[in-house]
Amino acid sequence: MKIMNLKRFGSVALAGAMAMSMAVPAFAANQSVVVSGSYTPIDLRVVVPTTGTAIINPYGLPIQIGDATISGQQITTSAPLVIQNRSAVALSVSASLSATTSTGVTLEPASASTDYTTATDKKLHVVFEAFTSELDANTATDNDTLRPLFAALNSDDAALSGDVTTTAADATGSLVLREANDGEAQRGGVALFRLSGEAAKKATWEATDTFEATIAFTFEPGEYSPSAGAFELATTSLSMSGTDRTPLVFTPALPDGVTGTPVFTSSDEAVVKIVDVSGVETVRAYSAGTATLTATITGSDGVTYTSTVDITVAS
Amino acid sequence: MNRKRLFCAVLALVLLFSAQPATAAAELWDTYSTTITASCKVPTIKVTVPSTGQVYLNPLKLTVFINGESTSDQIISAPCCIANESDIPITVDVTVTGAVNEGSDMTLVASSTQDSESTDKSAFIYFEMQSADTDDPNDVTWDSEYDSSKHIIVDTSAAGQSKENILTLSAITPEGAVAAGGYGAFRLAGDAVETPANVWTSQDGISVEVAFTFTPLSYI
Repeated sequence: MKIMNLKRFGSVALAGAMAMSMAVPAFAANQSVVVSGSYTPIDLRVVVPTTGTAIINPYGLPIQIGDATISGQQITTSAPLVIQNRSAVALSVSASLSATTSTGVTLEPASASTDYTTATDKKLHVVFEAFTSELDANTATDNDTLRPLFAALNSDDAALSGDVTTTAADATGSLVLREANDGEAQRGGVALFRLSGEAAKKATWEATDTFEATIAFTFEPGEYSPSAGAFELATTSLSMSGTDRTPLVFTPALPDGVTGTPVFTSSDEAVVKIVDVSGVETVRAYSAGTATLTATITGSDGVTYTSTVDITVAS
Repeated sequence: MNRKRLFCAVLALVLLFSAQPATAAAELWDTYSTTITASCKVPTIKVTVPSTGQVYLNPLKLTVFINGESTSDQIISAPCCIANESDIPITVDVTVTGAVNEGSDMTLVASSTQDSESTDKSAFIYFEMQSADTDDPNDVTWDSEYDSSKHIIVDTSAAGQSKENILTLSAITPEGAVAAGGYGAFRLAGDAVETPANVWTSQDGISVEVAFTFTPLSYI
């Protein structure tokens, strides 16, 4: 047996060692680093009711929900509908809306401009609305808390809304549910939703008239940043040749038990700055343009609350 | 070592370091649906209405006993009552149409005869309705005199006289009983010329048709 020349063996071994120590690309002349990454899946856990019931109530008759009464609502859901976020991340919520109807019933969008007090055809304008709430995992299932809250919902406060018709459409607005605490929905992580709307009061409605709405919710990671309160500026239009300043008036609105101090910033200090004028915080114009004032409160609950207002400066 | 085998080993090691880990990403954009089924709340109206009533002409103001109560009114009617047995409150519209009995020469006038010096055989009659808590119309406090905003004059016009939303009747109780405020007591009242030129006879009289229309109370 012929023994391999030691020099050749050493060369081969050295070449092998060099090949093994080189990272991808394997035959690069310079040293390189292998960066490894892995994807950690996000465990999405939400509680969404699969079914609900609604009432077409042309005369707006009182509807009892436990001890609470809903009156004057021509379209209403007959029980509170709740979404809970039990995920470890905040979730942005979107909704796709569609429906079917029984024969003779028409679902119209707001743009139809029907006068539902005089219309005699079986026409409905049904609106999906979703609302933020201060509920948590415990109160979200407590009917004594839930029902009065549900009965008092106001369409003006809807975070998400959209017309429900036989043509699929997306709700508009912004709704973010706060991340859960140890797998349970915490305050800011629960939303209420309902159907609202109008019905032709003078139509000859029958018990067989009905519609079925499908609300398809989609959840994706979002940034939970609830409102810090309201700006109450005397004006949002300043002028370099006229009124160039206005007192900064801001009213914090934090959840019960949460405290924090607002910090104000301008998106463009070349346009407006917040300055002290004789002891009063004042928004002062410096040049024509548009800027956004932001109030940020880091709440004692660890949540960052923000509110904004746009200000325009004319030359 | 065989060169080919060493080369393959090295190549395998290189390939190993160049491979990317394959993972299955979780489906974050899951869709959750809620199906909401709507039903129509159609109110059922059910009202008990008496089919007949009685009215007496008493121009001479004689004392008369009606349902155990004495009165000397010139126009006397035994009060009647309707009852709302619906599960919703209702509003009541009323149309009254009068007719003078055949053979009578009396007339129905549009204003009280008490301040008139007329000697025509005439009567001023109006329909009055009040809310009641029970089906005993005698528990009602009637108005002391004619009120045009609340009462309906009885005349002989073909269309009669009407008043909308004369009363609202409460819905039945959760137990299904007629509620307080769910009764509507009504009567005819008025006055007449006491001593007309043509004296009152047994042929004198009227019939009054009272038509009720019930509408669910709208909260809109």
